[in-house]
Amino acid sequence: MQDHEIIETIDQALAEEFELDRSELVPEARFKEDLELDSLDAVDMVIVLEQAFGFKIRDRQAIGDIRTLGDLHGFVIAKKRELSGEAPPEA
Amino acid sequence: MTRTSRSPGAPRRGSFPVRLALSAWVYGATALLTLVFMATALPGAWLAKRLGHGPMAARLGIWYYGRAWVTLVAPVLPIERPRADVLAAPGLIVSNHASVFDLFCFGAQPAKNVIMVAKSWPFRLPYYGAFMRLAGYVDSQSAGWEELARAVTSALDEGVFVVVFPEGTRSRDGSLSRFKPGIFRLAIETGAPVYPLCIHGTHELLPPGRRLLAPSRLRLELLDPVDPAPYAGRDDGHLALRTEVKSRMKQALAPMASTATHKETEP
Repeated sequence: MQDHEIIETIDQALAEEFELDRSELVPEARFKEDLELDSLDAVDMVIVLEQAFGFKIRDRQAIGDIRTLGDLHGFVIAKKRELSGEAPPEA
Repeated sequence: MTRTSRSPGAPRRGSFPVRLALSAWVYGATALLTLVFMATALPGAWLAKRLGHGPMAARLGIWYYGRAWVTLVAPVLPIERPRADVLAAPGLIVSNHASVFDLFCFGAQPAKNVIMVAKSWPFRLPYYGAFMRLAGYVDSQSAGWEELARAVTSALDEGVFVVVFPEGTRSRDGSLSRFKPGIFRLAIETGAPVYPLCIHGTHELLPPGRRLLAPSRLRLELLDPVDPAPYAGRDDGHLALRTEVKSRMKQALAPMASTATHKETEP
C-alpha cells in the first residue's frame, strides 16, 4: 500500500466515523482544537484504524502522543512499514 | 456541553422589553428555586447518603428540581411534555443540545431515575457538581472509555436511564451537529434501546453566547425507541445506528426549525 493510499484510507475512515468534512482533514489539523475530538474519540479512532488496516495498536502511549492528523498519517505509515518489514526512509 | 462564543442566528424574537421581562422571570425563578433547593436538598442528600440511598435520592432530587423549574416558568414559558409511555424500559436517551436550558427542560420528561454523561466543566460548578457526582453522572472527559462503558452498563442494569448528548456541545445554529459515534457502539454492546429525544425551541430561547431570552415555544418530543440489535455483528453497525437515530431526529426537528426561521421579529 502506497503512502498516499494509506493517507486516503485514514482520512476516509475518520470522515465517516466522526462525520467530518474532508476539507477539514489537512495534515496540520489538530485533533482536539480543530477537529474537536477528545480522548473518548481516540478510542474510536484506534478501533477504526485497526479495522481499516488489519493491525492491532498496542502502543497506546504512541497514540496518546499524536496531536495532528499529520502525526497520525506518519504513525500509521511507520506501522505499516514495520509490519511489512520495510526499512524506514532515509532522513 | 461546552461554552461557545456568540453564535450567529436568526433575528431575535420579541421586543427588548418583552425579552427583558421574560429573562427576569426565568432567571429570577431559577435563582430562587436553586436557593430553596440548596437549603432543603443538601440536608436531605446527606441523610439519604447516610442511609445508603444517596445516588437514587440525588437523581430524584435533580428531577424534582427540574420539574419545579418547569412549573415555575410555565406562566411565561410553557413547555409541552413528551408522551410518558414511550420509555418502556431503561435505555439510552439521546438528545439534541442547543441551549443551556435543555438541562432544565429535562424536568419535563417522564424518567426520574436518570444519569447524564456530561463534559467536565459542569462537575466543577459549586453545588450542581456535588449533586451530579452523588447521582452518579459520568464525566466523559476524565473517565476513560472502559470506565464510561462500565458506568453506563451498570446504570442500565440497575434500571437507570442514561442521557447522552452525542453532539458533545451546543449547536451554534440550532441544527443537528455531527454525532460522536462512541455511544452508538455502547448501545449495540449493551443492547439497550435508544430513545431519541428532540428538544424544540431552546435554541430560539437562548442560543450559545446570548444572555437575554427570547419568547419561544418549547416542546420535548420522545421518538419511538430504536432497537440496536439489528446493527450488531457489523464493523460499521454503530454508524448505521447513528444514521438511523440522527435521521429520525432531523426529521422530527425540521417542522419546528422551519417554523422558527420564518417567524417574524416583533418591532
